[in-house]
Amino acid sequence: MGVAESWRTNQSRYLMEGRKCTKCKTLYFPIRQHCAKCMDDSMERYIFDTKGKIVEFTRIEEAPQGFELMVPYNYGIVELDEGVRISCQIIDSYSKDLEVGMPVEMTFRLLRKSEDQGILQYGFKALPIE
Amino acid sequence: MKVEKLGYSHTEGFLENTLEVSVMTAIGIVGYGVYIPRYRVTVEEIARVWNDDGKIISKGINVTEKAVPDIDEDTATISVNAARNAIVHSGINPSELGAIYVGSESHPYAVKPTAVTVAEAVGATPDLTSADLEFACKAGTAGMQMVAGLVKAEEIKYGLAIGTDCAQGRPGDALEYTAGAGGCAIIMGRENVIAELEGMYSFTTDTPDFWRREGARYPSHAGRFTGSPSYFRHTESAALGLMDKLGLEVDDFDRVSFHQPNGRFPMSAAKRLGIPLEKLEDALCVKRIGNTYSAASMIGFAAQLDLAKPGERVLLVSYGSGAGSDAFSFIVTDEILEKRNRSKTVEDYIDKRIPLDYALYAKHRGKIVMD
Repeated sequence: MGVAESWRTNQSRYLMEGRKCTKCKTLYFPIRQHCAKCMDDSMERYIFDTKGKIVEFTRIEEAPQGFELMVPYNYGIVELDEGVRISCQIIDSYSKDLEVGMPVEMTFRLLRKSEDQGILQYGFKALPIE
Repeated sequence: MKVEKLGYSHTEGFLENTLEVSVMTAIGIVGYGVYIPRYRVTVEEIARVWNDDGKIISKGINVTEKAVPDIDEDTATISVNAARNAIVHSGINPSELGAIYVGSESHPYAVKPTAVTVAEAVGATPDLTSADLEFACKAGTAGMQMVAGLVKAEEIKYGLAIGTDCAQGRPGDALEYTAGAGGCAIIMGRENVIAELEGMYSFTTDTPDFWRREGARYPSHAGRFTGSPSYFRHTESAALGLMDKLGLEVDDFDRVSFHQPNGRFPMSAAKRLGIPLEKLEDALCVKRIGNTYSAASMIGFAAQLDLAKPGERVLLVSYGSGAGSDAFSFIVTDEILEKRNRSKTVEDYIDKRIPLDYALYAKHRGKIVMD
């Protein structure tokens, strides 16, 4: 992710900002300009709640470039309390006790370092609630 | 000045070199929050690697283990999580924050503020001022002074001061046993304060006891010089200077928190000041999370607020190498009971611990050379 793209998506990654259709009230994450349900373009800013549950996950043992130090880590789909599903990293590196349906809370973490001299990208990850 | 009671001699310029801020009234802490990473490495485990006697070292520094950040945690992430807890505790709308200052000696960037990431991540942008501060371990309390000044001057409604560090100690150095990680965020304002700011006072000199040169990875220190002319002189002088300014005596304080580079220094400072250990004990988080540098005195202060009763007077004295101390006196109000348990306490974070061995600790702290 380049500097400009990272800056454009700051609000989504930092605050979990999505969109709400003012006409049919459908919620969206990530941000989109038109409602996929009623095709209306009167979308308003919506900040999602930080709580949800694990829908599915997989354990990454062989990481792509930039994530080597994090292995093993979990990546999965989380359903937020509002019903919207998002994909993100699930923090629980040293435990294999993750389960589908487990409640999670979004927390603020470093997502990746683009390169040695590049910018640092921050955003949300899901943390299982004990 | 009462500072002379401890036998410290000052130059004629002593008063001119000492920052004095007028006594504050009717402003105070609106909310606070902390964040401490879950991982821990014990002093004995570090000592095992360096062929030292862990039991003797642990007893000597009065620290059993220290907090270690996760691989994807740094000063920015810890600051954001502490700030979010403070906002929940305060009950304010984050868009009403007029200033955010982050004090640390481990900012992720050399150039690009941590404070703007915090401001964006708590929803405070764009109508506010922000900056990163650096003064060894007292940059967080320097932020508290700046915020208090802006609130007092009615330039802002609320301001947020954060002290956070992911401290680094050179492998094998004495600092490695204590260099921990954590953050504390304090929101100040005029309405619904949980602790009223009674006054503040600072004591500052050029004393080179601990430093890190530009580009250096690990800090250097002057060994025992970090004690008497540095930590003790500044901490005690600031405490006594504040009492002199406010017309208070040591016995007027119910709870105290000092900077805690190890578990011994704050106990010795309290003893020299005539403060009973039980008034300090609840603040000594260093024993279980290590020295959190810019956050250390503030997390200790937060631990005191977690337990404080309305009407109690709390003394907070930071210390930053280089060197200086900021002293604050707060009087706890009834509002603290209303806001208690809104967010996680210091003890909640200290209790949640995942032990690491030295190898995983080294991986977490980037001490393994990859190329």
